Amino acid sequence: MAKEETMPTWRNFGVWSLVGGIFVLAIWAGIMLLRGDGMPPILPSGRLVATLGLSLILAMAVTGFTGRKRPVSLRSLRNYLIWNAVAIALCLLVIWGFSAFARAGALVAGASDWVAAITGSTLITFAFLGTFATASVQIGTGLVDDQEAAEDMRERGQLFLYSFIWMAVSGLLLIVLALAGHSGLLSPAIALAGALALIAVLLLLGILTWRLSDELVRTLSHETGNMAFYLILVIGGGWAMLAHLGLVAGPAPIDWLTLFTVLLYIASFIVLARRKLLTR
Amino acid sequence: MENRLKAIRESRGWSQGELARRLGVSRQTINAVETDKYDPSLPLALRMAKLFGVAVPDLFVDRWEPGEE
Repeated sequence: MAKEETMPTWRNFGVWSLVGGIFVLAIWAGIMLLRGDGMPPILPSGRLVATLGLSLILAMAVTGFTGRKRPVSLRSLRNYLIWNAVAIALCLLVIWGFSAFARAGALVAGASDWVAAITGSTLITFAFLGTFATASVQIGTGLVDDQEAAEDMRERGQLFLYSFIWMAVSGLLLIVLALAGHSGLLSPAIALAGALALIAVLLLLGILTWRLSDELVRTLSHETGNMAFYLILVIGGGWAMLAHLGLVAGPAPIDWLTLFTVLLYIASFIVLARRKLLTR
Repeated sequence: MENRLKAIRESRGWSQGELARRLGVSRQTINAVETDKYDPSLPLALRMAKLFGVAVPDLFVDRWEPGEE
């Protein structure tokens, strides 16, 4: 078998760090031009330099680390730009949505409602990115660099799609409940009807996903359930215990729902990491 | 658990996808078994052994030995 020509990891790290740095600088320049600030002076303020410097270091470190095993080619650069553009557009859309809700008087009170709504929006954003990746693989646009991941998405597209819809619906459920909180944008009756409908969809998707799963996925699902239970017991139980003793504020009902959702995903990451399934 | 699945599969000239299709599981499952990240269930191990015409201990290596009582 011919030896595959790949760049050393450290060189990949360097190249992708550079790409990340240039990308962040371009975003900064774009924001300044859009805001009408023009180009910064030759000697900008210390705060601007510190913020820009930190953004640059963070972007270079994250991009370099995640790209250390990624090939450097025109295709991978194109994919990097497309994925980042989509992610930024989604983030801007979420920020715009929150601003609109804030202007409408929703989410005015209650940190718990905010946390639930942000968690829900994050889940919907990830679900959209996942669906976009699965769809791109199905139509053969080559937007997924990892060939093994692309092959899995191609073979099991339906399973991936149902999983991402499940993620989005669980996020939507949190948002619906958050909007029926302190702000009262949704009445409890409407929120309850919406929540029951979404829970029915979640149940249906759960059954469909289970039927499409093979024994590895089902085993991981069982392990995730077990791990989530212990995480809830430790974190939720610890919080309830401290609240009972009067040391911290008690969790609001919606905090429990957010906690269940977040801990389920944390549990799945722990299970995958323990089996070393997050790395090749 | 250490196993010889990859060697036996390659000796047949099958890809992971091909073996997965014959066994009715995902390619991800075959990859996880071959890289020792997942031990298959007993029914799947038996199906693998039957498919390759070998005994389960020829596929999966268990180095445990019974101790002296």
